[in-house]
Amino acid sequence: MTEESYIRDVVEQIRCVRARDGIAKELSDHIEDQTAAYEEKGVTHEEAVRKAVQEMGDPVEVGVELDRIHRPQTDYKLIGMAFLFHIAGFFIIYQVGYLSQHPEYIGRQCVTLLLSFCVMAGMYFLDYSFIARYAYGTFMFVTIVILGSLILSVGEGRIPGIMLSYLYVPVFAGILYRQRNGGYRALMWAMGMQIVTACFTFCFSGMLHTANIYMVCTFLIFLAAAKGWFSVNKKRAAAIMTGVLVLLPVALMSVMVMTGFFSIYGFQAQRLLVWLNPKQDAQGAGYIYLLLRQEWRAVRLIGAADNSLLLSDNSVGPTDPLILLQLICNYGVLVGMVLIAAFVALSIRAFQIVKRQKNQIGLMLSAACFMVILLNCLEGVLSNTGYFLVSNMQFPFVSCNVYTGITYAVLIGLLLSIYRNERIITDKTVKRPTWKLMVKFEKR
Amino acid sequence: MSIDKALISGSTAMLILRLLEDRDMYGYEMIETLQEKSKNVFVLKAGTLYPLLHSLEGKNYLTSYENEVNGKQRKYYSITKAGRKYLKSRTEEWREYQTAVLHVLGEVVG
Repeated sequence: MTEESYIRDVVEQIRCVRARDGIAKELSDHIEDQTAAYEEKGVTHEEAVRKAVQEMGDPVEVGVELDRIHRPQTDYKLIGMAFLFHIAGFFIIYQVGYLSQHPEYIGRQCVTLLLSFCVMAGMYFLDYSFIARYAYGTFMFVTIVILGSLILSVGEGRIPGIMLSYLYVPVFAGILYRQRNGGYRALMWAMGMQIVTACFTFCFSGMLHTANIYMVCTFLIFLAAAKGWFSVNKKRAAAIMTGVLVLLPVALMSVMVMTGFFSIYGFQAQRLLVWLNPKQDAQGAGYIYLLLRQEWRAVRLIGAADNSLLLSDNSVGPTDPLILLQLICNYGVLVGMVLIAAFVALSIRAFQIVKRQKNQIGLMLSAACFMVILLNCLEGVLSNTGYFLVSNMQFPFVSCNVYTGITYAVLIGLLLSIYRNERIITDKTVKRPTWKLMVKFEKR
Repeated sequence: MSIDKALISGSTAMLILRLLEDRDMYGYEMIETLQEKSKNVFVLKAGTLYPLLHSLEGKNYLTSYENEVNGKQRKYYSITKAGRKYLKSRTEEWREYQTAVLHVLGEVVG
């Protein structure tokens, strides 16, 4: 048996095509080393190769064993969670959310549910490393999708895809990956892209979401620098990033506030002041916070709240951002706690996937997804309990907005794909594909 | 001297991790070193070694990296913190087993 035929027999047993090249190279190197050792003992080249191949062991047995190790794996825990969340989310929206007052949209919600499943399944089977390979193309694609959602949302009663902006976060992780070993120029470019991302998000989704996305992107760029992605002095990189990404925006904001320029965004400042002291605008923007306080005084451990305004006041209506409070007002704090526990479990599972990652792109992308899920769950719970601004933030899965459904389906699907390919995709395999599909061996 | 295969198969991972505790190595180097250190008792086949190395890497006991030596790109393996911990527990287990076997053999012989 020749070296070529031996290795071909081994790799043919391995179903995962992406794992084949690395294994073939490693086995080929071994045969070459063994051949050289025999040749040093005076054996002819042909005989040395024959003996070296013979000593490798049965190629089919070796291949089958390697196939077992390098096969894709399924995260049944996260799939189970996503499935339960989809079903539970649907019933929550139906019982206490938007559908409770607009049952005519039940068909649309079913389509949203189905679409979310399809997107999640699509992401699951997709090779996630495409985000690293085609980072800028993906950035353009996400922008087009958001613009499309904005155009489609023009019209009465249609809600734009605000949450879609969160898809920029994993894309930014891909952009960071492309800057590896690029030195200070790459660091500058990455920071520039972060600012561009923040500007796009501000245009599409407003101040709060921009602040969230900016925060997560800052965490990711610091993580990339800590992992040595830019191949620069880590301390100097940290100082530059702190200056440009943290201190500069703070200084700019301060100047804008002091010079009065900030007054054009008076709405944002007003929102903050009203949240701190709702009574100053009790009939306007402060109403929701006063209502929140009143509701929390009225809720019970089990069962519907006494004299709940949220349940009777049609001007507030069931909204996605306050869905947790709606649930608590209808069924009691205990049921609300179950939903919070489910969000905690989802975040923990996402974090566990981050911790498992050995390859750099898997780590960065899973960290991006985890941070977005964690931040949105946390802010959602805090705003429902009155400890944070009430915004258009939407919980994972418990929303009747189709774009929110798609956003979280992409994030969860991405996590599933990362878990699935954990033993297959390595940093060495993240490269643009070539037309060479077969494993080729150099002939002596 | 040849040894019953079943006797060493369970401890191969331990032996490999022990070798890597001293320094990072590539596959062929591990087989050579193991053979040398065991005075030709453990002659490991590449077909056994590579699936084992990949499996240990999957369990996060090992990590691998490419390194160029004498103009040739090689895949080196390095033991991780989890790998060291696992090695310690397996070594203790092995020592306990060895002592027990020796006790029994001692009784039989004696």
